[in-house]
Amino acid sequence: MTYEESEKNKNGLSSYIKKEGSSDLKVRVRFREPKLLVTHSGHITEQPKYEHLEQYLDSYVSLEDGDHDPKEAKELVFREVQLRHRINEFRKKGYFTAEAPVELKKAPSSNNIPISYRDNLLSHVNGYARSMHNDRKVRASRSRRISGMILAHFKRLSGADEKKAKEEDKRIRLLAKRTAWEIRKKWKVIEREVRRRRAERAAEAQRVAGKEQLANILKHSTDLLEARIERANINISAQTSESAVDWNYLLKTSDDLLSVDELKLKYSNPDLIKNIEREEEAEETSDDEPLSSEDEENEDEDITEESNLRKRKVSDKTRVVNKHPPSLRRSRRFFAKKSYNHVSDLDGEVIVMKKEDITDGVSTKKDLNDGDQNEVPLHDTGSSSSLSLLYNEDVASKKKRRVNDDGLARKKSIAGISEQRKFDEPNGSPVLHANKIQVPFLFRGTLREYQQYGLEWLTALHDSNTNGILADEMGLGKTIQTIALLAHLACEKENWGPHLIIVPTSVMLNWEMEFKKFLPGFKILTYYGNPQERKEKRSGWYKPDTWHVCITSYQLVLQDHQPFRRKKWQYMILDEAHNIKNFRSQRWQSLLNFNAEHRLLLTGTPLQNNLVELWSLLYFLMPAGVTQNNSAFANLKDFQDWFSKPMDRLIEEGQDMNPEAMNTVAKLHRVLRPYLLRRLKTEVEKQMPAKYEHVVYCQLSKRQRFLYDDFINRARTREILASGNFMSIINCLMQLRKVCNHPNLHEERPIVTSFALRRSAIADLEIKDLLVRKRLLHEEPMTKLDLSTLRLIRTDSEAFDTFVSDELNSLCATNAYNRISTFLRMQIDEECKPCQFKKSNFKEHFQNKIYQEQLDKLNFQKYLNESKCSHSPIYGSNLIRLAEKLPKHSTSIDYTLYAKDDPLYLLNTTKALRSCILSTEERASNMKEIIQRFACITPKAVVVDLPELFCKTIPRDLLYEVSRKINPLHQASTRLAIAFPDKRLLQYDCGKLQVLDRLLKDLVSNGHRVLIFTQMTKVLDILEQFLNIHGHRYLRLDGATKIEQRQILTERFNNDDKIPVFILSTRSGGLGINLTGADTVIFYDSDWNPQLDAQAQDRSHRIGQTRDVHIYRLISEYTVESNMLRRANQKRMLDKIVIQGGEFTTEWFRKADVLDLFDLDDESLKKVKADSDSGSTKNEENWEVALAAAEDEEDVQAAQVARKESALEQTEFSETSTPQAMLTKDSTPLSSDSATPGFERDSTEEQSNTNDMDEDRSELEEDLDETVGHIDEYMISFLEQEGTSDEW
Amino acid sequence: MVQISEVKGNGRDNRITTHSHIKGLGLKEDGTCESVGGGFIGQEKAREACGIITDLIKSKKFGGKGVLFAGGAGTGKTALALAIAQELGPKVPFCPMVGSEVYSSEIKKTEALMENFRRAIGLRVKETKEVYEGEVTEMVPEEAENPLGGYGKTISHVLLGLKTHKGTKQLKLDPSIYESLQREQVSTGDVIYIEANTGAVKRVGRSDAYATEFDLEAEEYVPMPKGEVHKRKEIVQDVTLHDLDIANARPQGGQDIMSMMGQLMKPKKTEITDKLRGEINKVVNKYIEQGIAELIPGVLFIDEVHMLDIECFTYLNQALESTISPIVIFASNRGICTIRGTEDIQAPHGIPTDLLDRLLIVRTLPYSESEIRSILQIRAKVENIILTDECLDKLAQEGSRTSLRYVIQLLTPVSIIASLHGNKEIGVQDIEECNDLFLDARRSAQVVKSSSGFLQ
Repeated sequence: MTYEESEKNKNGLSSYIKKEGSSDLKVRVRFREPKLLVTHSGHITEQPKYEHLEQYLDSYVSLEDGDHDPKEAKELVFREVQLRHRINEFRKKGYFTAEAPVELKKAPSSNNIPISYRDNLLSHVNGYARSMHNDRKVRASRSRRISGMILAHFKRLSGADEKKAKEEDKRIRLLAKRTAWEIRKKWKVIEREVRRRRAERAAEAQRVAGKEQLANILKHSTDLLEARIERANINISAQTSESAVDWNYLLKTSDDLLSVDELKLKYSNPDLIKNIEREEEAEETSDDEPLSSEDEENEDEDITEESNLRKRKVSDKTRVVNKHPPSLRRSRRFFAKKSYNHVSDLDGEVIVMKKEDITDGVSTKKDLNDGDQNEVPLHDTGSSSSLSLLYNEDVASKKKRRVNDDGLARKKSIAGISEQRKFDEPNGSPVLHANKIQVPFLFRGTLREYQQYGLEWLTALHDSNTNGILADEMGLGKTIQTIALLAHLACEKENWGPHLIIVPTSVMLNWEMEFKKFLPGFKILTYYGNPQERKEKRSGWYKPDTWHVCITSYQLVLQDHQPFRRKKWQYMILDEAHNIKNFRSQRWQSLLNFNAEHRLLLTGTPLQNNLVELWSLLYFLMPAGVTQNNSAFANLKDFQDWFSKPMDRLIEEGQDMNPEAMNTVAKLHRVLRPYLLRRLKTEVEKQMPAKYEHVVYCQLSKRQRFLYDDFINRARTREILASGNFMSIINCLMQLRKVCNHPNLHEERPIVTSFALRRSAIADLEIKDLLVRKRLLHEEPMTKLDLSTLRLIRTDSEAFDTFVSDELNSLCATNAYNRISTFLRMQIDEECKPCQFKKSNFKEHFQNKIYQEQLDKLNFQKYLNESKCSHSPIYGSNLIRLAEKLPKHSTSIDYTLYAKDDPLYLLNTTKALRSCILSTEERASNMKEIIQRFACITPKAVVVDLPELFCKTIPRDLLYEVSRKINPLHQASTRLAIAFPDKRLLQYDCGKLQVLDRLLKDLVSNGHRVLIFTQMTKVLDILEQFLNIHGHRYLRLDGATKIEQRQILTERFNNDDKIPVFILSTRSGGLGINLTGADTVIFYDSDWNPQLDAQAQDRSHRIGQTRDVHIYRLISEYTVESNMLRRANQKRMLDKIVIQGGEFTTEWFRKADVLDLFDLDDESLKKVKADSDSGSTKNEENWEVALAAAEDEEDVQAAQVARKESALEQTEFSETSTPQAMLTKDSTPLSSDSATPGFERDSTEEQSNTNDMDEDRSELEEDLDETVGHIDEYMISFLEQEGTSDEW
Repeated sequence: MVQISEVKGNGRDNRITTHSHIKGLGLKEDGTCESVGGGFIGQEKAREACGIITDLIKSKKFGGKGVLFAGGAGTGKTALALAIAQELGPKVPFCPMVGSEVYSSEIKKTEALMENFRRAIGLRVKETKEVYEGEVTEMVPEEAENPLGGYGKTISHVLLGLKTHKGTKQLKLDPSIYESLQREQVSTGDVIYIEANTGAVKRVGRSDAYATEFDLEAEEYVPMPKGEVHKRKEIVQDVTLHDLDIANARPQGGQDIMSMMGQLMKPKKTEITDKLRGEINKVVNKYIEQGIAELIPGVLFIDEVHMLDIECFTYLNQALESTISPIVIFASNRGICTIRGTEDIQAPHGIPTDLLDRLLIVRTLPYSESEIRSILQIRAKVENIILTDECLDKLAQEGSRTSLRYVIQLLTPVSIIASLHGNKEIGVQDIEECNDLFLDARRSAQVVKSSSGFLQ
């Protein structure tokens, strides 16, 4: 059956079904049937099977193979369809070729049966009936179709109008919608505009409010500071008389008074006099008053008046002196005293001075600027004349100059207080504070001067009920100062706590130890352990005096925050407080709510990324509602408005510092001053061992240079650099750095081994050989040949003695044979010829023949006998034995064995003889030196199974026997079988290692102990090898070292002098460990971030270090490294100038810088550089990702581990626990506005966003312009009036 | 202690050969040639032609073809060939030979040629090296009855524990490796390196965990390996077909006792038969089909090609046609001459015309005087000889009159003469003196001519 047929069938079916369904128009004809009379059972008519003809017709379906039940037919059709489908599918798959669709031939019908007429007729009838049926169907359907068409036509005619109306309606509706939309849009535009205006207004208002608040805060901090100063002044006045003596002494030292006069003359020029105000006039009049009253007055004034005034007073007084030259000498003492007074003020209040300078910076700037010109020379000369009594003033005014002078003001840092400290400590503190606070008697330890000062500062904070940040640089003893504070509180104030100290987990035990060491009188609870242990520790929690100090970690305090929160703490101290720099962290929030009387934050890095961090610290100290005044610290937004943004701008702009920005800085300083104490190591350096930095330039080795040049000259590298793809560039840079560090990192010297063919090529050949050749030549002809019989082997009889051979010769039966043979020969009748038919003759002849035969045999026997008996050796064993003077058994082992069997052996041999011939082993060991110098070349290729093929014929046990023998040449032959690159090449390949070798030898022999820092774990591996080669003992610490192991390692290193070297990775070893055992730090490579290096240095250069610390930085010459160093130095300089010591940014290398490193001067590169300069730079996160991508897996892992650790200690965002997330969270700006230089990218994006907005707006405004009219105006005004807030 | 002398990196100090100053063809990026570059001077057309040939070779479009450098003596044919080798880099095999090398009493001529042919065909094979590396934590030989009886027990296998920073592994090793381990005198605490492919074992040193300060023994300490115990390294090996021939002809490497026995049993050099080569070709083809190897047709350079005889040429003809064939570069300085091994067949360059037909011919021209001058300058620099300008001129003149080779050869004697006179720089009179002492070919020929066939 073909496809078409089946289609037809389907159609037939469908039309049939249609007919069934279409019974709308039915004509019913009713007629009654007359009832039949039934008289016989046969009369009963059968119930008709079908009611109608139609039904009957419906009862079957005629398909081509006969009639079927409809159901059956359906099924059949269905099956057929399925079959079709399958065929189609197969055809699609290509089972049937397209051109020849396979026709399933019908099986030939069983045609043998003759068709009768009846059959014919019946089939004809059937066929006719079928055709009739079909005809009927066709006709019915046609009529239906026609009627349907007619119907449709009329319908259409009637519906046209209606449709038109509908369409019209739709159109109108659409129009209305559109209009409405337009209007709404318009309104929205208006709304936006209105909102903008409103926002402007609001911002304006806010700005005003903010300014007010700022002023408030400024005032508050000023007040605070002044209050403290007042207190200090009171102390001072009490001490004045005591210290007067000192001043006398000081005066004596100041000899050149004339210069003083000159100065004063200079100082009191008319310009300045103009600036004198009325108050000063009044003071001037009081100049003549007695000394004491003057003093008192000054005291009063100091307390009450602005220090600005006071400052002027200084000049007043000098002027006064000037005005009364005759009384000068007389009033020397007076002046001195006054100055002293002033000086002491200054000492105590340098902060005040400075701050006031700043406050007045704006208002009295003019005055001061005027004054500057005069002051500057004064100070210069003042300092040059080394007038000690003017010195402090000098200092003060210097500072003032710094603030006011545009150029110098840049040097001011946010953490600029430290600068003042610098002057405070060396000068003021001994005089001022010597007797102020005694070291608490409970405290077992000595405080250094600056620590003493810190303690005083802390107590002052405590007294003034303020919280603060102790932000000394690392290694200055923040811990000790804190402990001292607590001791002081206990001793003086009888405040025994409880105090809560929250520290990173890693230093918890350290804190405990410090407490035990310095303050054994305190009871310490170190709160850690698993939940159960902690619970135990909490027993007796609320009883007073169970313990005084609780030390716990950030993590635990969060976990168990309930009990902690319930307790009332005297002091809450947070170590490494930059851990709470993120005010969004749960930690920050949670800790903020703790019930603590005082708070103290300890951190070495108060600023890590941006000012927001600082804000979160400050806010933590002064949360709303906690501080007594209304001056809760400013909220974030204000803070950002005031400081963050201007600062960012400042840093971005770099060099130029406009007065406005300066002002901001000054303001910030003012805000911070009372809360922050920061000292740098450099300032207290005289109390620390010195630190020397050396940069050691290393030449690249030849291989390095080759690889380096090769890499940088590769077309691909150039392409990448030109492409400006940040990631790829970083990658290139990383490669180059690797080359600089060690060429093996870039391209390892391969371990050369042969190429191994598993199966010999001749393995198959061998089989063929066996089959063909060996079978063919199986019988060797030589085996059949006895050569010795023929005496062809001359050396055969060498085993014979000559004596034996002689005897043998004598046994030779030649003579006997001869006799017999002559006898026989005689018997032979030569002439006897065989003659025919002569019997006797024949017999004779036969006899003759026998004789002849015998004779021949005899001759042969004779020959054999001769040859056998004449076996004479060439030398003979006796001769050989005689010649053999030396014993055969000369191996040492055999010798002893031999001696055991034969005691005479020892007598018969001598050592001298034995030593003449050495055994293989002895020879081998003797020749070891020489053998060791040889090596067999690694064959390029080796066939593994060849030896077996070769040694097939050798019996296995023989092989085994041989294999037990020592092969003396084994060393030489295996030396290059696996050809390791020569170990020394490790060093010779690398310029840095060459330098390091010399350096280490020098250092170690001089008893120095060394820390070697590197960033790459692979370098650590190489260093390990290197140190092993040189036999230095070492310890290693990297990312894989477990934390508990770290402490052990550090302990071991600090205690064991015999270990001269400690190698660490900067990432893992840079934090939290104390390696004062070492006095030398070598940086094998420099980190991207100089801060990390700085941290690493502090491992050894810290409190506890007794020796000077030398830092060596290995830099490869003329490479990216030197460029990196240069850039890092530049940055460091800039950093020093702009924000001294404040680590404002960790993002050191921006894209442009990275390109800079490559020392290339292609035009294209420059272009790229320019692009990248102008374009966006990556933010920190991208940077790290890029770095991570470029670095080795292990290093990345190490970094991650380090990060994880720090994350563990540092941040605990409740939402995100993965370090990655933390990273992103950490480094994304806190709000859209807080773009710091580290996040320039974001800021630019931000910018672009705002740009977009601007564009929108301008478009809108254009729109407005276009349709300028009363409606817009009206709309705006309407909205303004109505108020938009209700709606949105 | 192992004595190690530092290898002097400066090859110049060690050996100066005629062409040690050649560093490459000295072509620009666009294929044209710099007048002075790569140690080359002049021969610009030839160099450009060679540049094209090099590119073709590099892009593997030049297999089985031949090049002939034709030019007078001392015109830089060998230098060109060497420059091509330099340009191709170390990965492409370059096999130089001289025509007369094939004549030997031991090996057939064709055999020698074939060997060189196969030396010049490289095979780059990807190989996965299985490497076990670590500190030995235990080494337990497991004994079993000797299956052959006698001699007590044999070792069936060895259990070896290896440790690295990443982990530990216990390995079961073949007894043959145990032999190697014993031979290397490996004990626990040593760091060893086993290469499974070849079965080679090496003791790297003692683990530094065992390093103590007071260890008097001169042990070499090494850090414990960092990676896994079992490492798989995919590396690319460059071998030539000749290497494979050799490896299959006799056991190599001397790794274990079997190969030692093999050496004992077959002391004489196994001849590499054509049959063997055929088998190896089959193996190589299989590798190539499997995609683990790649053929790298290298360069066979036959200098003085006119020294080959007709038999060799016939062989070359056939060899060049074969599927695996290197690029062959001939060099000849002959014009038309009789082909060796024939009675009277004259052919250009002494090469049969049918072979000549298959070759690209590159002509080298004699150097001009100025070129000779700059070549001399370079050579003098290489040989560390200081020449005055006049002296250079003089030598250049001499060179153009005689030959470049002659003047270059003159350099060393001249410098000796100059030093005998106590001059640091070489002067003209030194050269003249030297010219008196030595004859160049032409003068020598004249002398011979004038003396009617006999030297007096």
